[in-house]
Amino acid sequence: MADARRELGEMYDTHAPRIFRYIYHRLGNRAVAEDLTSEVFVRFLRARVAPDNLAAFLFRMAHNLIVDYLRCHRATQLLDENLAAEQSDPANLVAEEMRRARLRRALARLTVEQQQVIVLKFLEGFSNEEIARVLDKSVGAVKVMQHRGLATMRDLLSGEVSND
Amino acid sequence: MSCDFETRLDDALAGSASSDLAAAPEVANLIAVARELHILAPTPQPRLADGRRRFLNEAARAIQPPHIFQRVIARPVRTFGFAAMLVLIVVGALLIAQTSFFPGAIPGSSSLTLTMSPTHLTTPTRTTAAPLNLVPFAPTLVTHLTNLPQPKPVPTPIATRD
Repeated sequence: MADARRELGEMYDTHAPRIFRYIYHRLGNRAVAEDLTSEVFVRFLRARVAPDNLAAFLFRMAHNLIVDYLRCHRATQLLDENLAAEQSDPANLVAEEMRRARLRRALARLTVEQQQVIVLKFLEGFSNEEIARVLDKSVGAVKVMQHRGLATMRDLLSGEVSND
Repeated sequence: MSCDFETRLDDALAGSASSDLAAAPEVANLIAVARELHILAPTPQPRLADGRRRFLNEAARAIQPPHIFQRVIARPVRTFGFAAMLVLIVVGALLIAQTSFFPGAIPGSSSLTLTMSPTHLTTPTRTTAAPLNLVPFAPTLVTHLTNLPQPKPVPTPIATRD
C-alpha cells in the first residue's frame, strides 16, 4: 500500500506540471488550470485503465476537459495576478500582457487540433512523434497541422496589427 | 533561441505538403509567429499540492479492500429480495396449509378434511346450501302464503266457427 502510494505520487509529480502548463496555455487561467489538472488525474484513476503511453492518455483527457470547460464557460483572457507580481515595471507588465493577449486570441481562433499541435510543439517542446501519439495521428498530419496553424496565426496577427 | 527550438521550427516549416507550398505564406512571417509564441511560454508556478492530496486519497479509496460489513451491505438489493421472496413463499404455504379453501391443491389435504369433525372447524366449509327454511323466521308469512286461496282454473277458450 505504501509502495503504491509512493509510485502514484511520483507519477503525479512527473506529469502534473506538464498537464498544468498545457491547460494553462489553452485557457490562460491559473486557478482553472490547477483544478482541471487535479481532475485529469482523478478521472484517470476512475477510468481504471493501464495505457501504453500514459502521457498521451493524460493529455487526451486534459484536452477533453478543456473542451467541456470551454463549452460551459466563455473563454476570457484575464491578467494573471501571479505573473503580474513577478514584474516590477507596470508599463512592461501591461505591454507584455497585451502581447500575450494578442497571441492567445489568435491561438484560440485556430482549430482545436491546430491549437493542440502549436501548444505541444512550441510551448511544451514535444517532438512530432510524441504529438502524433497524443493526438493519435500520423507524423505527416501533425506537420501539416503545425504549418497551417502558424500560417493562420500569422494572418490573424497581421490583421490585428493593421486594425490597431 | 535554442537549437532545439530552431529544429522544431524547421520541422514545422518543412511539414507542408508540396501542393500547399504554392499557397504557403512567407517563411519569415511564420518564423516570426513561432518565435513570438515563446512569449506565452512562461507560466505561473502551479499550486499542485491540493490536487496531489486529492489524487492520493482517491487512489487509497480505490486500492483499499472493502470492510467485511461493507461487503455485506454491498449486496443489499439481491440479498433482501431473495430473503423477502423466501419469507413470502413460506408464509403463503403455511396459510394455504391452515385453510381448507383449496383442499385438492395440497396432497393429502382431502383426507385431512374427511378425518376432521365439523366441530373442529373454525370456519364453515363452503358446501351446497340447503333450501332456506323460512318458518323459524317468518311463521306468520309462511302460514299466510300457504293458506292463500287457490286460483280458479281458467277455462280454455274453444274456437267457434260463425
